[in-house]
Amino acid sequence: MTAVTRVRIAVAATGIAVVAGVTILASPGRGQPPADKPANIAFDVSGCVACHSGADQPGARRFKTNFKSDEYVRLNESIVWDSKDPHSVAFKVIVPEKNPLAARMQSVLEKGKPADYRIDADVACLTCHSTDLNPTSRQPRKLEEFARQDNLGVGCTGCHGLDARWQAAHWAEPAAAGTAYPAFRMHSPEKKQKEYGLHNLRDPGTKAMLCASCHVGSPAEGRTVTHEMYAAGHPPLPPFELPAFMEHEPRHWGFASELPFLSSLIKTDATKAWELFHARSEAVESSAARNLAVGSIASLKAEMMGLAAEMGKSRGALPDFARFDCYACHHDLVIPSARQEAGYAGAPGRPPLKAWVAVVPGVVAKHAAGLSNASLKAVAAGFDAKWQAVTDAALAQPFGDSTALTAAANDLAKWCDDFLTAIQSDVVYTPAETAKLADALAAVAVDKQTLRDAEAVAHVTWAYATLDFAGKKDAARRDAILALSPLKLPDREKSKGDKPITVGSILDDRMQRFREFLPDVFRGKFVVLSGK
Amino acid sequence: MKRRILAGLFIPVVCWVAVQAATPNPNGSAETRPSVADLAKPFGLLGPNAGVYSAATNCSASNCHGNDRPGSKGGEYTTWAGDDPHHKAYAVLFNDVSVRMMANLKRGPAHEDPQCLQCHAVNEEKHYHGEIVPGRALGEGVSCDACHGPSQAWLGEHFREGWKQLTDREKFEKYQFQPTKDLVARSLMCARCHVGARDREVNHDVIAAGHPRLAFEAARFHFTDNYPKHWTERLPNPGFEMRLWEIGQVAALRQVIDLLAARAERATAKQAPWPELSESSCFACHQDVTGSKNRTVYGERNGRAPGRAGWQVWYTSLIVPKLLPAFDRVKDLRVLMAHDVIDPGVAAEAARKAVGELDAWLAGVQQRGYQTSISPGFAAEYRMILTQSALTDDKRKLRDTDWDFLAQHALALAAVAHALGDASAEWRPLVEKLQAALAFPPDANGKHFNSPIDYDAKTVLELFQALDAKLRARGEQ
Repeated sequence: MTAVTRVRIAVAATGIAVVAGVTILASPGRGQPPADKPANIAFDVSGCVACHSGADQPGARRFKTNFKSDEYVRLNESIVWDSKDPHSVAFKVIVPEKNPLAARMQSVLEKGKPADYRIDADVACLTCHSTDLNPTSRQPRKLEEFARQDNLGVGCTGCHGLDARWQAAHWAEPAAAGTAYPAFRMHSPEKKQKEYGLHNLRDPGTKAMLCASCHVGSPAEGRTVTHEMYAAGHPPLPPFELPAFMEHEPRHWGFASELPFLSSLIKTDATKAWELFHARSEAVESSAARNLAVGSIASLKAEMMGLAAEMGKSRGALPDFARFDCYACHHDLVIPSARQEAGYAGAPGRPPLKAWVAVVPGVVAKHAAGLSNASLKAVAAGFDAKWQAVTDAALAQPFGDSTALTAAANDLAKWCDDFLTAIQSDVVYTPAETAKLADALAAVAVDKQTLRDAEAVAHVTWAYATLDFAGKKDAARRDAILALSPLKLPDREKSKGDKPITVGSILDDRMQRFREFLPDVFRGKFVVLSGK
Repeated sequence: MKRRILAGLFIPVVCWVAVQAATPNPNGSAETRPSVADLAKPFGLLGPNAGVYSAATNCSASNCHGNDRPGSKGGEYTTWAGDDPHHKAYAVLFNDVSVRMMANLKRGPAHEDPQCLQCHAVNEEKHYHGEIVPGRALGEGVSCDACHGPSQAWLGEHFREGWKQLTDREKFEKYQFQPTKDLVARSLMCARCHVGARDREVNHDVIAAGHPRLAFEAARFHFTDNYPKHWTERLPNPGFEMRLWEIGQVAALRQVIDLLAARAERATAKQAPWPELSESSCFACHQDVTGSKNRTVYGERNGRAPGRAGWQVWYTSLIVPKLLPAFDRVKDLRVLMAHDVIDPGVAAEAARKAVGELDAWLAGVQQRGYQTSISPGFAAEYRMILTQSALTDDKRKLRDTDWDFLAQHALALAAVAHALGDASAEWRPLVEKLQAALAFPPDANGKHFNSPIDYDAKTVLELFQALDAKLRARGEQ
């Protein structure tokens, strides 16, 4: 860790904040952290930095020596987060004085607002761009509920949990008899959540819903990139594809195969490894496939919940424009028109929803429907009709028939819950099934319908590349396939320097690539490279 | 002067009818004197079932309107049958664009579709409005009666002694003869198809299927290079064109708001799409957003929230103070239509009120007449108002970067320049540059552009600023 980095982190430390009042709400559904608000919250990262700045640093040495903690986690998490992970600068990038893009957005969004309006003091921005100190609140949000620190952004506790109990217990609990590590490690995920407030991010469903709440949006939590924000200059959110994001983000976590403690546990007690850590041998199940399946369904669920929430705001309310396919409207008018020549699914002239949210789930559901489990088949087979109901309702009127779309979106969100529950227990993504899933993704990637939507192509390409090449030593071909995608995720893992790559710094290149996407060229090259 | 701006918009029009309108015949019984309420409405606006229509062959005798000298008096039919695009309106229903449109709309052939025929032919023979009646002369396209009124009642009268002694109102109310010399009636009549009306419209579904957008501006349409006129204007310029521009603005606005009322009424009954996207500014949404055009640096949004498309920017941009009345009910409607969610019933009521306000103005123009002599000072004031309307009060930015707003201002200045002829030589080059800056790109690589893809807000701002500076230098402020 550089001296500069240490200073940045040290400055970020502000101690423990205690927010009074506990709001308990109904669970938002499977896969999301429970909504209980901890009595005592701690959000700064200084405590984390002390031990997670490298296995050989003074703060970590005794854990490495006494507990072999470096075989359970990586112990360099804080360095990775600080130097490479854009979450660490999530707040800084919305400070107008520090980011030209923020200044531009400020200049647009301040019109018609009070004279002291600032985007870095707008709770609509802070819900995702700062560590939220009261994330379970459904009340109008207050400025003091957000950390708003330049060097914190979305910090450790923003994802792992604000609860001070786990933050102490995970290293301080005495070792249980016969073990050489804090007893906390082997508590069940449910206990860790319920009694300590640690979010179970090893569970793909919990993880995906947490990520999706910002990367797809969650109006119920005040987390939405609205059309107004986009119009002011917010970069487009790329399709959220869990394993691809995991691979392209700077990983401060390890896959089970990389962590000796988990690898060993898988061998000695596979059941416990699965129940406590969602860890399986890659020979038994592809973690990428599970992340892909769960992540895609979680994204779809987040999108459906977002739709329903926006329409639920008032009678006859429409979804925010940002829920629809941006490029259905946002294109120059040119003759010949590829859209007019291709025809329309419903009435022409009605903006469709974002296509990408359903393409991979469609593949995942169809694959599951082909498995032998009867109850799983029944659930999985319901996808097509439910998505069709959503799209029909969305096209029944411009921006959707509010009543029908609300019902259809809620119905599909419930289906997502049912399906996530079903694949939790009824599906094992064995290497053979993973290969089938990859083949199906490859076929969909070059499907005529998919090729009309560059975001869908990007999503499927990421999904396919992640899946088909997981564990294979053919990185060059995998990278060549990823290079075909109309959207490129920055490889922050390999980035040099001690500052994360921000979206603003790569935006022009990203959009130019997107603009220049040629479906026919993609199809030709994809078929050759994938060999499908 | 070349008036090439928006050439892409002046193209054959396919129209449709969503629902047959049930409005009563506005002229009522031929013997009835106009009521007070009628006087608050302009006359000359034909509704459906207005009378019995005849084929153009009734007009084409060589000693009537069909001599062999196109462009001459007596050669009206010949001129029309030559290169008048109205004559070709039916034929375009068979072309590839029309075929694809109807496939996209999942409807039958365009040339059999009553909704298309409403504007692409005279589809009103024998009162069988909207139905396919054997024997109609559909192939004539938009022929004489479409603009001059259903001729059965006046065909045998209009050449007789005494016809010229009738007033325009009498000709219309007694014989359904469309008073085309009256600029109010003419503008309203053109706008029925070129803007839309209760019984005919081009909505966003139809546009998305492939129909060109409609963007009517009366003065430009009158002086388009490829439109051979078969008549001579009574009024000389500059009076004619400037008054036509002014009346045309209000008439088009009246028609588009009446269309909004009709759409909203139908939407209330779940018989039409709502919101109707063609009510919004096309290029607010239809622009490539993958590259930053940075237009906000050079212009504002005319009060709109970010991410919101303006309502009917094309037709409302020039309802500016000093130039035309304030039209308070139109202003109320604009406020309403800026909301995120609009109840169609509320919109319909507000629109009807606005139509009443505009009708009263148009009727007043018909009753009072209008001054036709345009002094240099009056024309200069027009230019000043138009130029300043395009700029913010401090003149450092465009008031609105919406292309429709800017193009309407450019067209208005072009109308003044064209009307003044040589008297505008000093500043006309700036207007021409403005038109060029806003023009759609020329065809390239087999593509025809229907968007102002590369319009540069900075250039447009500088040209308006230069026009303003030139006026100031001449003391016209």
